[in-house]
Amino acid sequence: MTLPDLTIDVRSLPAPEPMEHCLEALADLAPGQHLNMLIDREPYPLYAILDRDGFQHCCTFEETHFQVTIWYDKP
Amino acid sequence: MQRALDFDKTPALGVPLPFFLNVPLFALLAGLLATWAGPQAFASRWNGAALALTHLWTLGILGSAMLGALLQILAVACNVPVGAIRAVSGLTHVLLTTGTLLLAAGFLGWWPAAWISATVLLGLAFAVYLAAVSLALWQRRHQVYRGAREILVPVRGALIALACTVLIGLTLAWSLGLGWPLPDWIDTHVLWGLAGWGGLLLMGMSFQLLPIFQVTELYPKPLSRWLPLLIAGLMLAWTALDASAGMPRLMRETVELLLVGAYTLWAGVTLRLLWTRKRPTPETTTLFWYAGMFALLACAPLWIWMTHGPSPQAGRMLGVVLITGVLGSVVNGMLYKIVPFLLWKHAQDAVIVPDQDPGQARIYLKVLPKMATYIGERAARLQWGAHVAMMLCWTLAAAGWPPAGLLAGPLLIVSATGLAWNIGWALRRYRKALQAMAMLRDSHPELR
Repeated sequence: MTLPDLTIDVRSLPAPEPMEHCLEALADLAPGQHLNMLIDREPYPLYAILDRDGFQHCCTFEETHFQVTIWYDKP
Repeated sequence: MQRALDFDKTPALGVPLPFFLNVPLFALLAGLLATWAGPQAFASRWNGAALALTHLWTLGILGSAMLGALLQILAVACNVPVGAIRAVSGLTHVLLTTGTLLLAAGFLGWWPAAWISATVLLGLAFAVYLAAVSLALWQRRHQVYRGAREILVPVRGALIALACTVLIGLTLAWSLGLGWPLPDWIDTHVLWGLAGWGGLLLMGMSFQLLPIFQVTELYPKPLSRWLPLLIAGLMLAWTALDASAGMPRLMRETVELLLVGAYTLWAGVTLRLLWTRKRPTPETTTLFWYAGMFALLACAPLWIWMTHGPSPQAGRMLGVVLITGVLGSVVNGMLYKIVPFLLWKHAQDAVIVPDQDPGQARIYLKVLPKMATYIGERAARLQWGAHVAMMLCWTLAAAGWPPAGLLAGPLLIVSATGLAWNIGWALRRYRKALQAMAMLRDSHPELR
């Protein structure tokens, strides 16, 4: 069974709270499930942590904010 | 514009932390000294206790925090990591700490050997630091993040001002030590230290850090581009006028007025940005920024009083407000952002093995303590209250009110103890987090 994707809205939060909320949400992410994060600025620092921890990610600009999608495949 | 930090370039914990630990330790020392000296310490700029207190504040408390934070910010916010950073920071820290203690002892005991030794140690500390940072700025000039170019203008200005402050200070201390006539450069030393090194660095940091950490709007672009240059130009003009014999005093005062106006403008804009920020509830760091900027606004009437109503206490009050109120508040508040973040980030780095399956990271991320738990908001606010009480008391003591002179030292001890307790609490939390992670690793074979 595929779990529904998760969405967190971290717009208007001061750094580094968006990163902290994202990492909290990742702790519950299942393989194949996606986490969508809505954020005011592109979170370059987060990418390094996601790469370190083996997560996949992509980012799109949605007119007023960025949407970062994060997931991982079953090892 | 400048809204990017790269936390992956965070230097090792041992680089900035010793500098930050100096802050409560030197504050405790200054508190003990002010308690021992009492109102006498505030009676004149020139007595030994006042000079020792001034340098415990400017070198031990503010200098330590600013040098440590700059290493961090240059790497993280500007893509300018300083080479051999462990050696540079370790050497600078040891030399700065011992040099400051010796300088303060020299002022207290009027002890020429201490001044000479302090000159050597502090000269080496700043030479190592400035050489390493200047080299990094030069080598990485083409790799600087696009959004960070504007903050590098005030940072470069601040570093040049630091070099001038140090050179003049060393000359003064060396002259004292050898019994030579003292050059008439003390006002220049004070101006370059407080308005140049302290003011420009704070301004540069505010352009970068307030939008990110306080969720304010960006500073108006003309202000962030031109104000640091205007201030640097005004300081050069003031120095030239001060050094030229026969120039009318009015010219120097006009330059001072413009300098005061420039900093008042920055304080006003910063307060407006803080007031209209997206998050309505202020955190403790926000409160420290408010305290610092209101103190900066208070400097304008104090400067007018000092210049046009010649009274010795106006100059002393201006110095105290700038050191304890403006720079002291922002430095103290900054520690509440930077220390928990560093410990939270380093706790992760200590346990998560890169490039493993996300499963191991997910297990650790579930149990690692949250950043807010490293220093409690209530404890931080209590310390902010003690800091504000201390700052007001020191100002009243400088105004010549004896009861405040008696209370100034004890209040600084209370504020410093609160800060030391809060940082110590964060360090204990960090150690416990690492121990919990080690136990978790032992109980989860997949983590080994």
